[in-house]
Amino acid sequence: MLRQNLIKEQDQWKPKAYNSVDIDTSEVNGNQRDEAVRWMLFLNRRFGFTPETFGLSVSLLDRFHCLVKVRPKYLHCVAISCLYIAAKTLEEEEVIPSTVDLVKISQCSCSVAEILRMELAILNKLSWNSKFVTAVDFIHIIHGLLMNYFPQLLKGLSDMTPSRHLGLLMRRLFCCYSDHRLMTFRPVTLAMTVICLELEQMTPNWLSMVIMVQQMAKIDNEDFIQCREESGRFLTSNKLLPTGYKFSAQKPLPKKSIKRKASILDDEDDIYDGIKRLYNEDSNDVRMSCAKELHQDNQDNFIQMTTVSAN
Amino acid sequence: MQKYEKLEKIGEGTYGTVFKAKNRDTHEVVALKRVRLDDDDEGVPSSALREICLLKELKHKNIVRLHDVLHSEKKLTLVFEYCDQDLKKYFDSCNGEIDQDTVQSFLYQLLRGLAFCHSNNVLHRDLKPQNLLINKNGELKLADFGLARAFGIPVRFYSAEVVTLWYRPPDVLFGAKMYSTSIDMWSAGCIFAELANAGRPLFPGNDVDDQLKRIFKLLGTPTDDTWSGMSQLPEYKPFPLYQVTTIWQQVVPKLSAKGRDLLQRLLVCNPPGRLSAEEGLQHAYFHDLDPAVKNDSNVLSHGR
Repeated sequence: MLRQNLIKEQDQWKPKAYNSVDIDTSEVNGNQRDEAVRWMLFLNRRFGFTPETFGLSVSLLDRFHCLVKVRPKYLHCVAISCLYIAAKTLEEEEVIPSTVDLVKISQCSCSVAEILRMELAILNKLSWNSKFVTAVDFIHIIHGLLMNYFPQLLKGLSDMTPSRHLGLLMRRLFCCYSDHRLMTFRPVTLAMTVICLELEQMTPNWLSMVIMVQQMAKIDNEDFIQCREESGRFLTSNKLLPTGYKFSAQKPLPKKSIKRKASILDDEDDIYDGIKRLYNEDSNDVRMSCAKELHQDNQDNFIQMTTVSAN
Repeated sequence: MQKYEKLEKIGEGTYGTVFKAKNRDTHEVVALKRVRLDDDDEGVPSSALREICLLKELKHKNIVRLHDVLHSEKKLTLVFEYCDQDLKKYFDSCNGEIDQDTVQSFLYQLLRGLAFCHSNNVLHRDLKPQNLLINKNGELKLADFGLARAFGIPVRFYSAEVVTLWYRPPDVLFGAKMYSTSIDMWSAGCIFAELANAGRPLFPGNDVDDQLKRIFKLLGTPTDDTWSGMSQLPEYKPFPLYQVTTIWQQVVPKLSAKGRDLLQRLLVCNPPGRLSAEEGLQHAYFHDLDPAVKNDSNVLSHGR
């Protein structure tokens, strides 16, 4: 699965460099893009979409910006349309809101007709390719790989389960998504960076693990080191200035003790129930009742999946 | 729509109307699936969007090829390769008689297409004779990916509102939302039996209850011992404990012993017990398969 996705990434991915300084007001700059991404994350949670949907919506947004010079006044319309396309591509019918609800709940300033026109414009520009491999996919795959190869990894940490751990990584990745400068790195490099920054704090053996995955995923070393530097700095600075952004719901915790992370995690657990399903840890959600009972089945599936990805 | 000349209406898909058409330049015959975009305020239907992005990745001789996507403000047109008929129409033209070599060839191609989907992490979720296309070379192709979805890590809850009733597996009938490739393998089993009987559906239920009753009468009612976790499924309800008295030779009289064995390995109530598509292809039933079908490109025409 890792290999398949790497091939797709190679076909699909193109870096997008935004203007960081506001020289040209006729085109969306990096800061405006970042703010839109934070808004998309807020909406992704509001609508109960999966992390994959958010990851895909940001890929669509960046890709569209690669192809088209977007004027700032259309940015919100582009952003919500990307989220809508991502949801239609990945979510089940029951979860996808009607366009009317999308407009109402998101309180975006665009009309139904504008969103639908934008949807067509985006799909057309992207030649109807609405499915890209994202860093979210890679985090899932690599995390699954690590849990499979090193089942002892989380043993020493109190209160830490695979799904919580994944939630923690995902939260940091989401934070990275809101920095356009990090979008110049390949999705797999970014995913691996977030995982690396975590492993460094967890185990003295982190280097061998990172090298193992790096080789499997053929991640360029120089790129990787640079990405690690930049995202490390960004995540740390976000801890120092967490209220700087209006839509920021992130709590990146790169340097805190694992124990503290776990306690903060409880507040935001609901967003990651999708991940919990993987490991069947949910106990309080009514809908989950069958998940517990399907434990065996689920485990089988998981083992099957990880075997696939290990190949 | 200048590029294509519409010839005739073929039918209605899950979304949109399907036409037979001809490319004005190349004279290539194609199938056009037309989706109106101004009927409601939902924009591009998610089923169309999914079918497009999945089929762009699934290029295989046993999966219908998507050539192009055209759109205007008011409609979206998917251009597919043209196939002469679907399996349902093929059955209608059979008059209750089917060559067992054809059965074998069609099932092999169905499993090969499915194995390709599954290895690319795609679930079809709506396998039925109407969605299997047959061309005049006797090639079978999976079509209508409007309900299909990609699956992966993590395993998520999916919709239980999938697969046409007659081909829906018992776990999904009981409301299971955590399913995987086994969902398609049950449908493949139902289609296998229907093929062997020249188009007589195996479990033509009227509603969910009747559907489950028909299944359990044939296979015996499962218990938590034979299917762990069954009684915890969201829509589970107890059924009478039917004993297995099935004589498979009466169910599928024309099918060989090896064929019956394969059928029984697909029609397993407990999802992990079902054979995978890849395993199915290796089954002894296919040992005497016509090499032309196995290796491919020009499948001989067995039927009419």
